[in-house]
Amino acid sequence: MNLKLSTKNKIIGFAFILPGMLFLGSFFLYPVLRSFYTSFFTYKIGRPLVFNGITSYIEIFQNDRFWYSLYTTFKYAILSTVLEFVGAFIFALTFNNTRRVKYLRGLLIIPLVLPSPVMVGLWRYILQPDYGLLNNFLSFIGVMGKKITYLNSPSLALYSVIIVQTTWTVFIVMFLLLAGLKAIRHEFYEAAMIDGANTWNKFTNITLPLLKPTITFIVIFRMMDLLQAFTTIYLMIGGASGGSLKATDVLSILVYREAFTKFNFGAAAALSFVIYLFILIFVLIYMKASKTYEDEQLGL
Amino acid sequence: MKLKYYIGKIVPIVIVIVSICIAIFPFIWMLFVSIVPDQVTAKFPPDISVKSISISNYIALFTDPDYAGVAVSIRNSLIVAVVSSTLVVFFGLLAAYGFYRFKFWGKNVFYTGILLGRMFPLVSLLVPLYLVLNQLNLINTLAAVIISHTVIFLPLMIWFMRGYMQSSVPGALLDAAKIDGCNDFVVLFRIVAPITIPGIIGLTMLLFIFSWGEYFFASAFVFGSDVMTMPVRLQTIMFSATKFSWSIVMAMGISGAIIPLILGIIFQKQLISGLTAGAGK
Repeated sequence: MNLKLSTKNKIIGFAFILPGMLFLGSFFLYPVLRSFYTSFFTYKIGRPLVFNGITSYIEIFQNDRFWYSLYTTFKYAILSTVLEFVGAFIFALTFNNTRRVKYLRGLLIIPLVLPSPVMVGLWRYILQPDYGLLNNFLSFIGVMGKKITYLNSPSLALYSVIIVQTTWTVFIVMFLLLAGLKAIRHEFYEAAMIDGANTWNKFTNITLPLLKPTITFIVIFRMMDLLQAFTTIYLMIGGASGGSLKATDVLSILVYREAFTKFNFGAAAALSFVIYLFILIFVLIYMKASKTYEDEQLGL
Repeated sequence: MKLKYYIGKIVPIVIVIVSICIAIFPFIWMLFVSIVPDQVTAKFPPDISVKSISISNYIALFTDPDYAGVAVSIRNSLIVAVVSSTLVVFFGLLAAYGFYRFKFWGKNVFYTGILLGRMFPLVSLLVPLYLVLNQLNLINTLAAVIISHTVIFLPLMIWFMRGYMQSSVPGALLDAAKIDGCNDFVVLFRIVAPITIPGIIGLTMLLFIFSWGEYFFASAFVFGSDVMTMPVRLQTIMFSATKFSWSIVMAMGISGAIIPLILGIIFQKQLISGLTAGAGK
């Protein structure tokens, strides 16, 4: 009887996850596996598959462009995460500790709900070199003699994208940190105060350690997102027309170009799996390094 | 000592003001650009006169044949966002409950697989998914966009909702309901769902907003002007060579942002709790 019940339970449990799994199986796992298969072939649309073994993979690792792009991708992801995090932390601490500003928090939700292609459009106008708001403003206050190009210059483009993007992503991180801060119990701070701790002691000995799970979550989530970022960079830099600046060629843009301008689907697939490998390695190392993250939540 | 006191008072106020400026300035500038002619905002300080303010850009956007399909694209985005977030919530709730409540063979394999799979670069999913949808004759239909958005967000929904259920639904309550003879569907929809409703609403809003603004998959899967979604149409206006105008681009941006903006304002609280559900709070 008992055995029967638990078997029945297992079947019911499986039935609950089945619809979702079928969906992901057919529109995620199947395409990905197929893509893995084609990565061992030369595959151009309209032509038969030609087996070439691991040639595509070897070519990737021999290509300087790939290594530079890998460097750019990590530079972009890490700088963005750091900038977002520092900004968000300052905002979150301020909003958490300042009285009478709670109702203003509602305003900070605006950047989260505006579609990012819309924000990109706006910033392209603000950063327009000849008549954009930023250059106009800079020359108005007399800071600048010549026009700065932000998005088409190899030295500034990547940083411009990072800063612009941070103006909305910083608020996502801020809300996550605020939730983490709220969950810290007041008693800890009161006890520390009695022991004569100053603000800095309280911050390093209570706030930071107790926020560690939240911080780990944020870093994993943001890096996962940023390492495969595409839309913001692509639309900021050139959109359909261009976007061939080496300085902003993150890996996803290489994949996109391989697939949709060169139509090398085999090589694009191989590149995808190399990127995936780098993301997985990064996430696993990070998770091992910060063990506080509850294993159960990740199911690992 | 006095100086220190004043610094302690002033610095937070400055930070609050700066954060609010960063948050709302882009929106206000966009609104302003959209209601004045291009020449006004191309100078600094902008020479505002009451005469130059008008909604003619919006009228042009929705009536001028050069911008045909703008209203349709907003409708399409609405359809895509509603259908894909409904699918994600439905599949996601069932699966999250399955993972939360039952033990069965392969459970951890599936769960870990979903999470590790989600880290696969989305740009790389584009090509193979395109080929599959092409075989199903779904390319250039809204269904293709809906499927891609569901695929992207379903793993996150399962992950977040499972964590949310674990932290906020008492197991004893479910056992009691089981003993009273409720089956699992009843338990899920009558007990678990009502308890987790703030998280569900919040996540649904996030899904909706994400799907509304998703550009990458939409731009690859639809190209006909009758099936373009808002971000795709916006991009075609932003990069069009003829009759380009920033005011029109911004008017399109505002028109395309109005629905998520209203939803965001109404569901502020839930939105934040949805966002933080994943962090296990």
